Amino acid sequence: MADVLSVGVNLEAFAQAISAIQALRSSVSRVFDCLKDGMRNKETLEGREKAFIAHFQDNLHSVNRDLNELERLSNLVGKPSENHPLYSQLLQAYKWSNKLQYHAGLASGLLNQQSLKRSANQMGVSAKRRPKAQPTTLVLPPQYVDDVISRIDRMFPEMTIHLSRPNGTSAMLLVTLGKVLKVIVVMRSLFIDRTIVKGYNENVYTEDGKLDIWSKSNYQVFQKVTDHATTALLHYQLPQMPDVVVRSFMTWLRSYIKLFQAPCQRCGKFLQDGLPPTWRDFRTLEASPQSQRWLSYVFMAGRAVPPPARFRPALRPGLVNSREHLGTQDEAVRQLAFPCVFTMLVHQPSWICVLSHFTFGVSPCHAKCFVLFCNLFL
Amino acid sequence: MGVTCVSQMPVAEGKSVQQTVELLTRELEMLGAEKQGTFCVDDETYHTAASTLGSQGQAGKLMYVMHNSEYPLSCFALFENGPCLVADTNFDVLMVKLKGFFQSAKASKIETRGTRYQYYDFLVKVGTVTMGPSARGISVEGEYGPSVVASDCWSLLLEFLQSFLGSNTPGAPTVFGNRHDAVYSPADTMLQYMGLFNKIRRQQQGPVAGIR
Repeated sequence: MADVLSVGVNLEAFAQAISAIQALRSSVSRVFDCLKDGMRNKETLEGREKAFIAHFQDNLHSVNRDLNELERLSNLVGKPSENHPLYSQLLQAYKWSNKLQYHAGLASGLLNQQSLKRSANQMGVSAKRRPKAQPTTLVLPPQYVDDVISRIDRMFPEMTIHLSRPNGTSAMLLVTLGKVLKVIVVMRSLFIDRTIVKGYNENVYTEDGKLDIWSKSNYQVFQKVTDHATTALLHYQLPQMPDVVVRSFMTWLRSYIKLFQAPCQRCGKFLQDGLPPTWRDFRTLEASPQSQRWLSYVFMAGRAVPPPARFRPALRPGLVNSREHLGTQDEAVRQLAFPCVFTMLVHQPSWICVLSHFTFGVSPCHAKCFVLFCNLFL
Repeated sequence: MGVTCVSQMPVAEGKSVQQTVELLTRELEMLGAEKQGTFCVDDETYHTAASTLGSQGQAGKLMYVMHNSEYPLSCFALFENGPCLVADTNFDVLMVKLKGFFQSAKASKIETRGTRYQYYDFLVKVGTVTMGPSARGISVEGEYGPSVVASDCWSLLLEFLQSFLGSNTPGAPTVFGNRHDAVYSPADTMLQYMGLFNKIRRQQQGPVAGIR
C-alpha cells in the first residue's frame, strides 16, 4: 500500500501524527480532569481561585500546542493521490464485510431458534441448552486464535500448521499436509478469508522471506484444488462457532493426503484429462473428479427433507417451473433464495451452497447469494 | 522436480529406431501433449586408475559422470551401487585434474537426445539412445511434477504411461522400492538412466541384428 500511495505520503510523519493525536487526547482529558477536581485546598479563597485558573490555563495552552503540532504534521503527511481511490475503496469493503459478518451472525442465531424439526421434544431440549448469544466473533483476542489453531494442529498427526502474523493482526497459516501439499490460509480473526494450495516442493516464500500469499501454483492439479478449497471455505459457514468451521475445513483438507493414491470412487480410474480426482465431497470426503461432483449432489438431493406442509403456501408462485422464470442471474438467485431459506430451516445449512452450486457452479455467485440472503433478513 | 520413471521402449517389429520414435511422438500428439523443446542426457564412464588399486586388491570401480539438460547447472557422479554426488558443472574440470585416480574409458560416452512433451502436469521425454554415431535404442521418461513421493503416485503415472505406450509399459523402477516415503530427487532419475544405459551397453555386446 505504501508503494501505491507513495506520491505524497510521508510514513514518518504518519507515525509522528499518530503520537501527536495521542498527546492531544491526553491533554484534553487533563483539562477535564482539572475541571472535575475543582479547586485545591489553599489558605485563602483568592489563592485557591488563582491556582485553579493558572492550572486550567496551563492545560488549555498544552491543548493548543498539541493541536498546532498535529496540524503541522498533517500538512506534512500529504494526501494520497486520487488516481488510486484504492484506500477509500478498501475501507468501504472492510466496513461492508464486517457489517455482513455481523448480520450473518444475527441471522443464523435467529434461524437456529426457528427449528422446524417435526418432533417437538428435541426443540424443547435444545431451547434449554441453547448457548447464550456470543459476543461478536469478529474481534477476538489473538491469543484465542492461537489456542484454537494449536489445538487443531495437535488433532491430526500428518498435518502441521504454522501460524504467523506478518501483516498486522490477521493470522496466516501455512498448513503442510504430509508430503503432498502446502496450503496458505489467510484469516480474519477466526474466519478463513482465502486459501492457496501449492505443491510440497514449491516455494511458498517470496524473495525477502515473507509468506507469498498471491502467486498461484505452477501445477494444474493444485490450481484445481485451490478452487475446491475456496468452495469449501464458502461451504463451511457457522457465524456463531467459527472454531468449528476451522476444524471442519481442516478435516476436509486432510482428506487430500491421498490425492495421488486414491482413484475415483465411481470409475476406479486415476486420471481424467490428466488430473487425479480432485473433488472431495463435503460430507463423505469421497474422491471424485470435478466433472462428477454433480452426481454427489444428486444423491444428496435424494435424501433431502422437504419443508413442512404449513409453510408451502408461502413459497413464491411459479417456483415449480422455476426454470422458465430464470431471467437474469439476480432474479434466479432471488427465486432460489426462498427454498434455500426453508432448507436452511431444517438444519442443513450446506444446502445453500449446494443449491447455488447446482445452478451456478463455483465461487463468483456465492458472495452474491449470501448477500441477497442477508438482505432477506434485514 | 517430480517423480520420474525412465524406461526403454523396444523397437517395433520391422521398423527402425527413427520410425518407432516417430510413432511414439505421434501417439503423444494425438493424446494432446504439447512439444516443448528438446532434452539431452549423457553419460561418460571412468574407472579407477590401476595405480590406486595395488595394495588393497580391490576390483576397479566404475564411475559414471552424467549431465541432464533438465538441470543445466548440475553434474552427477555415480557409482554402480553406491552413492550419487550432485555437483555443479565445474566437476568436469575437476575430473581432468583427477586424471591420476580416474581414467576415462575409451569410447564409452553414451547419450540420449529427443523432444520434450508437456501434458497437463506430466512431462514426457522420448529420446534416441546413441553411442558414437549409431542409434542403440529408445528411452522414454515420464515425470509427474506435483508429487514428490514415488509410492504415492506410481499408479497414476502407470495409468498415464499406459495411455500412450500401450503394452510396452514398464514395471515399477527399482529405485521406487528402495525409498518408500522419501522425497524423490533428481539423483534417482540419474540412477534410472544409468541402469538404462548399462543395459543398452550390455545389449550391444550381444547380437546386433535386432537393432537397426
